[in-house]
Amino acid sequence: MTDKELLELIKSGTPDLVNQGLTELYKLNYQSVANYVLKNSGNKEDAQDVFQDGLIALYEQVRKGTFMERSTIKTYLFAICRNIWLKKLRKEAKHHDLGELDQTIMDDTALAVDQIICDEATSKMADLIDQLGGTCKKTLLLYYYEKKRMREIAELNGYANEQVAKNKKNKCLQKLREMAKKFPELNPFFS
Amino acid sequence: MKDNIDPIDKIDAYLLGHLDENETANFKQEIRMDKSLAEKVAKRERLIAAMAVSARREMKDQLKEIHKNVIPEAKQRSINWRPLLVAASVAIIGLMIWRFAFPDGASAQQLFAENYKSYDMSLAVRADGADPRLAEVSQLYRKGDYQQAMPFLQTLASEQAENAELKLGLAMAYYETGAVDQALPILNQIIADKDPFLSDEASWYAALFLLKQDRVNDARPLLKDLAERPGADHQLAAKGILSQLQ
Repeated sequence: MTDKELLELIKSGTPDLVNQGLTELYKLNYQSVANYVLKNSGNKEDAQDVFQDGLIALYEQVRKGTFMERSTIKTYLFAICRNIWLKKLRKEAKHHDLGELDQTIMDDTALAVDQIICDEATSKMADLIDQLGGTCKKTLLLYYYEKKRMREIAELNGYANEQVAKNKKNKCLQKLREMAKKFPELNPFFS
Repeated sequence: MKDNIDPIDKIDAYLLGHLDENETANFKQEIRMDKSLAEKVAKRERLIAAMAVSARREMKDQLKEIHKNVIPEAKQRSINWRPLLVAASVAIIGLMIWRFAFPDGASAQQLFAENYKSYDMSLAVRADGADPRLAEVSQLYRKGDYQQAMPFLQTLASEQAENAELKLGLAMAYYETGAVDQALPILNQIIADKDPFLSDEASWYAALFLLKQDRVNDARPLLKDLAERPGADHQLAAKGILSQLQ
């Protein structure tokens, strides 16, 4: 499959096609990233973790339209994963001589890598979103993460129309707000 | 975008890129001039960032499944084809008998098969101090290990009687392990409790399980409620089933 075809699958936003694209990317790219991590003080679990985080970062870049296609997907993905691994090693402060990062790639991937790191309060709020479950979580993520319009959300969830989807979204946000009230550290998330 | 929209909707539209160029520029100016608006925008940005964290966790679970399927050392065992061939033969013979019995139109069982998709149970697995059994049961459920998940779901559902998500997961596990008669009372309880977020799901699955049992007259009122009540989940699908039943 060509890079163009892979990008089309990811951009489609259709779950089956996205899954197909991610599976292909996994098959084509995992081993090179794993080899790098294993040769640089990591183990199999680290390799899996780094690659999956890198793939998620790539997915978001593609979906946002910020993947510039200046390099191949393979090169770009490897660079993201290498940067993720180097950041983790630096954080553990086990290694000082980590080699130079490719500055060109670093500029492009820095934002991608930074976006997958989050603070404790954000992680806690994400826990509550996970707890919402079912159609509530699905509706909120379709709107706020996938940035889908209400019409499309209504179609995907089998609602009668856009207004129903919007009411559902608002009801679910209200539920989330009620759940967050128990945790003072989550005050900064709601007006 | 209309000027009289809810302020929070406008903040969402701005942050999600739904405003056109002029609207965006104007809104940025409003933010610069209004400190309270700027604070609301900042809070919403944080909430959207948390949604992204949740979505990434789901995607990571998806990638873990892909890893198991495509990476050789992650595969548990090689495929044993004999039981698959036997199952396929039984399925083909069953399909031939069924087509003979129901030559025309959609049967209740056919409608069940066309519409059934296992419920995507979602439990908190990472909250500080959260019960570690939630992580265990979530993993087993996602993998389709309903038999293994069952004892956890039974215990947790009885301990957390107010948690409709657990009850729904338990009902699904009962169905998936062939105990639909134990699934239905649980679904009826969620419906009777009028859980604001899951009673529609419970009605939907109860209707589907009743169709599977050819209890069309019992399924019909549940489907009719979903089809006719404004804002109900699965409204369009319920209408579709009812039109085919008629």
